[in-house]
Amino acid sequence: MTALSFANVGKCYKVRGKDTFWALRDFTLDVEPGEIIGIVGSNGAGKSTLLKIVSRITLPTTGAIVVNGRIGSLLEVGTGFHQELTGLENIYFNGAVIGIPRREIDAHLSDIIDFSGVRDFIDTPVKRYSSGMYTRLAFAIAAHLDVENMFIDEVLAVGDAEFQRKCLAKMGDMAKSGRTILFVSHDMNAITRLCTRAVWLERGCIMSTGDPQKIVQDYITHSVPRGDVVNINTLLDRLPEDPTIKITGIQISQNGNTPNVFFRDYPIKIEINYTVSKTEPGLRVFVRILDDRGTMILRSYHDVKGAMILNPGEYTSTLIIPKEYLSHRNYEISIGALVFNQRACTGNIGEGVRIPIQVETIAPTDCYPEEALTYRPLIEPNLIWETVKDK
Amino acid sequence: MKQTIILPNKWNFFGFKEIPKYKELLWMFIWRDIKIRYKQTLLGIAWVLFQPIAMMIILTLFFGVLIKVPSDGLPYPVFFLSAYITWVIFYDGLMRSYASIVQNTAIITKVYFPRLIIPIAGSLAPLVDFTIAFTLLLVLILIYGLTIPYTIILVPILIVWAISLSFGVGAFMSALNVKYRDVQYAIPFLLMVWMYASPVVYPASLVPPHLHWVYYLNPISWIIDGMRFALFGLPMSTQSVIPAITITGIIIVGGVMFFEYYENKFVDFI
Repeated sequence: MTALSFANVGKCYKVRGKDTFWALRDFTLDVEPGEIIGIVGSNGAGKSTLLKIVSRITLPTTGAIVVNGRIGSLLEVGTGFHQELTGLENIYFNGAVIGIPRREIDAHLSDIIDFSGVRDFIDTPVKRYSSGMYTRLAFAIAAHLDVENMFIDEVLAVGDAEFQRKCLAKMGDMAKSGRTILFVSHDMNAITRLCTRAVWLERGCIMSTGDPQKIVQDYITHSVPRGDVVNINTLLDRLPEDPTIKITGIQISQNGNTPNVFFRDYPIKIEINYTVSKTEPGLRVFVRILDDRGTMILRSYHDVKGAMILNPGEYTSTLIIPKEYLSHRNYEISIGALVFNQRACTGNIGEGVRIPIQVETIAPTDCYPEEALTYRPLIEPNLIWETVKDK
Repeated sequence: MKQTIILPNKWNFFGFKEIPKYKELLWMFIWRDIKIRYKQTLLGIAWVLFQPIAMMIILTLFFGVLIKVPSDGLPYPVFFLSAYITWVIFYDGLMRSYASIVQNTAIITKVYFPRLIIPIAGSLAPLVDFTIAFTLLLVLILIYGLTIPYTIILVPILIVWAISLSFGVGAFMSALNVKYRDVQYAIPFLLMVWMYASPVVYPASLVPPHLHWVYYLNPISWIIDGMRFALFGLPMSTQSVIPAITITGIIIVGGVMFFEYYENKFVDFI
């Protein structure tokens, strides 16, 4: 017997009178008991609408859903928390709201308070709590919800790195206990780590369903990156004229594609096309990698293997950034040319063409699974370790 | 294993049948309402006594002493208080329930439960205040040297009537308020007119007898007269009580039907 069965579920909203807007269309999916389904998609893709329908908060316009077993939804942490009530009072009220019977709360009260780490303030109204305390208490209660089907929306996107780690571990436990979970998140690490299957939604429709790593990769590759798409040709046109060298084209690619987002799990290829009009000793083409604050992380020249005089002609230089070298964060790639010890050919030294890129990871490392951006190193090469037990 | 089937919108008139399963949540809502009522107030629970006492003093001076409104031979303070605390069950219940759905938007948009629980909790919450105020009334009756007759056992029936009525109106108004916030402006007028159409500050005997058939369509008139009969043995109207009971029934059934009709759309409208 399936745990959840969606058949052609759709939700249509009326927008200002006559216009209609389909937030979700023809959603069909069967979920087996114990599956953890991750739902990814850009904002407005219909993820939250789906969770609201299956949680019975709003009704579908079309289709049908059959849910076997009790339903619990955690669409936010601390639903129904009242500012004037104390931590303890809110534990009972919030518990009742999300569906934890009072006797369960009584039985786990000590666990909940310990997990939240607010024991000293449990009789203080929550309006005096810091947002961290508030969130920890709320999650501690939610973690004790024990139903067959759980629908979770971005609950993990709160709190500091340490607390997020704790929450993910708790989610993992829930998953292992055989509960069926539908999980919406923008945190791709969480999706690939926790889910057994993923669904990619876009504009209300299912784009694809399947293995979380594959889906996350598809989603990231096709989704529009943060910020504007950079037109490399426009940047090239803006370069100052140089008597010796003209850069005519740049391609940054991975696995034969030119995606919006790169993966550190594959090599990144940078190809530079240029025309040299006269021989000038010391002419070099360079690539620099900068972090998102503009600090140079590394620099490399086309003749790194040995001096190479560029006689007049058309050239293509190719640079490969090996796999598992960059970290998952935002970088800027700066490409240009200079005459060694004399002048820069492409604007000020180090300027060149600056192309922002976003690097993600498909397989998060198990050591540091859910690090905040600020903890990520500038580069993360695959260094060689060996550990031997001596005694 | 429990199976839930979710289908497109339909009029779920019997949605309230699910309420027994959510009994615990209903109690929690009532408990929370009571808990937060007088939080961060200096006088705290003393407000429950202060409000009726202050009203009693002001209105006794105004209607009893200055205007000399008749009070069927009773001391004006007990005459007024007996009606006032009964009226407040209805008034307070309605005030708490009509805005309750909108006030609980944050919960409604995140968790499912039968929404009717919210106005039910709203109309039950005044019981606590009433119990305290009623004790005050009994003390006052004894101070005035009156005796408490055995008909006092009728009081619970009258309270149930008042609460059911306030629940019926409250369910209707709370659903209407989700889409039309006009309700929050209309309610104070409605309640003011309703209060003066009921024998709260004056005795029903002041109303010309040929209008009694209209006057006693109002269930509150019966509830307050009933209260004065139960506590002081004042005579009841000779009109039939059936129309008022029927009207109460229509309000409750209509209110619940209307509520259940809109229940599934709350989240889309709110």
